[in-house]
Amino acid sequence: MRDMIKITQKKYTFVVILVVAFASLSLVAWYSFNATSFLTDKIGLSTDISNEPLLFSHAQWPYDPTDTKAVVTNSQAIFIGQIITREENYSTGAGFSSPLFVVRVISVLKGDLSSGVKLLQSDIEYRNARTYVMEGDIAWPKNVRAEDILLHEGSTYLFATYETKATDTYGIGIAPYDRELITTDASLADSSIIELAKQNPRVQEIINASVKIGALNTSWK
Amino acid sequence: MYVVSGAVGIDPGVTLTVASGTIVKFAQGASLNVNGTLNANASSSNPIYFTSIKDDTVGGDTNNDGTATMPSAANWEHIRIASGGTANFNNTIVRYGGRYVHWTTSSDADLYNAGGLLTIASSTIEYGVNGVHHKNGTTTITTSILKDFSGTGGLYKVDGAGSVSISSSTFKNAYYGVIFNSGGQLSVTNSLFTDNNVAMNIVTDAELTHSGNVASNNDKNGIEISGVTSSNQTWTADGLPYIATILTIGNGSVLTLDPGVVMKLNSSSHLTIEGTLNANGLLTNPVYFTSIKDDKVGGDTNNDSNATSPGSSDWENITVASGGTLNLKHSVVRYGSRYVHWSTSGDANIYNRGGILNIGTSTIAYGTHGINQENGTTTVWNSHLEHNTSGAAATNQVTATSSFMATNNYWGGGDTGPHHYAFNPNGAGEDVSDYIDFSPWMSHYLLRFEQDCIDLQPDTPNEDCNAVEDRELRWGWHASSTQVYTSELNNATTTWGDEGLVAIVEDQSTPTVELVTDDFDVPWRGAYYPPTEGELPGLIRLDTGKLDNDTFAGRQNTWTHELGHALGLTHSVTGNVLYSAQTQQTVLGLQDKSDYHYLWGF
Repeated sequence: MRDMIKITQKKYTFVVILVVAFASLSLVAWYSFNATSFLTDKIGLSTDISNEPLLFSHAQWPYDPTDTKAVVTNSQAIFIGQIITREENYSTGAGFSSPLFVVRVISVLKGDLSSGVKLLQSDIEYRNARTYVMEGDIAWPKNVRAEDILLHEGSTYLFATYETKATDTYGIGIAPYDRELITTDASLADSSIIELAKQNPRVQEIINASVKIGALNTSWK
Repeated sequence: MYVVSGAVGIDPGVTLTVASGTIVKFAQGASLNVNGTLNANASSSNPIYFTSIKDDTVGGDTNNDGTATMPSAANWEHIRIASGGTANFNNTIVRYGGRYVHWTTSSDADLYNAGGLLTIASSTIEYGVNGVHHKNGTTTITTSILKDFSGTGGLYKVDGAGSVSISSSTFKNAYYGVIFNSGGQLSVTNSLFTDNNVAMNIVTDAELTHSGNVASNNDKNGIEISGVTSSNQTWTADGLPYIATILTIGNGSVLTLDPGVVMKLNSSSHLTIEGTLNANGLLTNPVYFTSIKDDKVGGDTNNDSNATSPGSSDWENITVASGGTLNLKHSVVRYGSRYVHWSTSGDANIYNRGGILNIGTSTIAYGTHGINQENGTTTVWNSHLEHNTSGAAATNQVTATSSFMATNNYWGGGDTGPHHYAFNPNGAGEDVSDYIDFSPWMSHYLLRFEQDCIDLQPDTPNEDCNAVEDRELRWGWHASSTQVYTSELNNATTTWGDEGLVAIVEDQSTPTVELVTDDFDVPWRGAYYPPTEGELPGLIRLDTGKLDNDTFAGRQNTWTHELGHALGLTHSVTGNVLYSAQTQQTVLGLQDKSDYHYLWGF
């Protein structure tokens, strides 16, 4: 009988250890997930939306973004920058928020920027646990994924930005006209990135338009 | 094992039960006549056989002739279910029957339902002249295989009435998988037709319901249909297209084609409308009238892979006779116009000989003429007439009883519109003849709607795309919103309201779309968020940070633009308020109006 009790106690102890271990592991996993999750929504919950169904909203642009001169004219700053990391989402009002990135500025074509700025990607919006993708004159494929549209850490882009209300924070939101991927290679030297950018047709369009309206910084002339 | 050597009958009130695993062989001239009840219900592992005495594959060499004789179709007569009789076959194999003796008593099929209750489940009917001959009564076939027949069909009906229900079954290697050549009810669902000459053949008297069927590797992968309709019918879409031969919508009858119906025609085919034909397509699920060579819809119906491709004059035409009415909505008519004789034929996809044509939101293409009117009344609107030698032609003088209204159509040629030698000589689109009202025309054929709206117009608004409910767009301010630009908003609601059909009203308690204005950190002027998952309201956001610096007209343009989204329209081309960028335009453009009325009617 005593032996049976001992065995029962051992089983009980073992079960308790298992439960505690499982709970601990779950907690660690949960924290790990949140620590690594790059999609922390300060309004909603921390949710990786990369596989969530997207909803499509429709914007009226302030100008014709197919006109590159209009893009340059209406951009507060145009620069080449590398995405360093993603921060907490940024509230744009009415319950909406959008992803915000820390960007290392490599070269500035238009405007006067510090070496590090924040960049708001407002063509992706979160509200009430839903993810919206803004459509303008283009229509995203219905099977498009958020990760297809989101800026990627380590990648370098040309950005044609609008000014936000926050200091040193710029926005893009008129896809695909206000961004151009230069490289996904995070190890490239800035000089190599600049050379790649100069060979990029879209960058050349931006430069040419900037020259025509006298908006190009002297370092690019 | 049992050997039936002559005619055996089951009397009324008598039940014959055949045990699982039983083998019944029939000698030449033998048959089983069921006036009572026959139950042949076996297990799948131990089936029942009704077969030829020459069939040595089961039950051994019953006729003791070694391999001197081989079984074949018509080795014996049939199992006949008489009126009042019942036969149930489950996990049963019936083969090699169909010996025809005399039309008064006999049938050339393995199983012959002369008026009783025939149920076939999980069974195989094979190697007869025909499989199941249904003349009358009720026949039900489920999860069964009917294959390898030398005669007319797996299931055939040439006269009589009654009903046949087929589901989840396979019809293979017969001339017709199913032929239903007289009146009665036929239901075919989730079944496969393969290796037949024709998957199915029916006459217009048949009341056919069908869905989920598949046809492959038949010479004709479809439902052949011919005859004159004498009653109102609705045809539905299926994996099998209809193959019309000579088909007439009879005087006084109405044929309605549901969305997705595909009707294919060959070189000797035409469709004559003496009654009424309603083709009720949807934008993303149109009704098609096209060539049997057209594999782009309805599959490879003539089963020739890419050996043939469709072209103009592949089939004759849709002729609308005097007294007939053709109503096309979201339909496509193409590759017709084969000219046969002046007295009966018009070299057009659609030939009006004195009836009424009402064609909207449709495409008429790849004919000699798109529409040829000899007499009658034609109205065609918001449609696409292209790739015809001549888009439309009114061949006769217009009289008091003959008119051809064809305004607001796209004829190719972009802004220049259709070509008329006198009235629009610079038109680069298709030719139009005299006596056709073709101006104004559409300069684009864009069909700019919210993606999820397009199948539901005009009477069933979709809450997942537009924000219209019961033909009302009810707007109200979001609780957190400032209420600004109200004059511009009133003007915008009036602009759309003037088009009619949808009431645009303020409703703060039950809005279908909420308005919120604020100084947002966004690059755009306005944005529309459709209701999601059926949850009204939708949302319109306007950015005061930038709009405050715009003109009155610019702000009105933005309201009008966003309300247009809420009405179901998506971005359009320049010259329209639904253009994706803000402009000073405050009146609707041609495409705005065209799309709105495409969606909500006229």
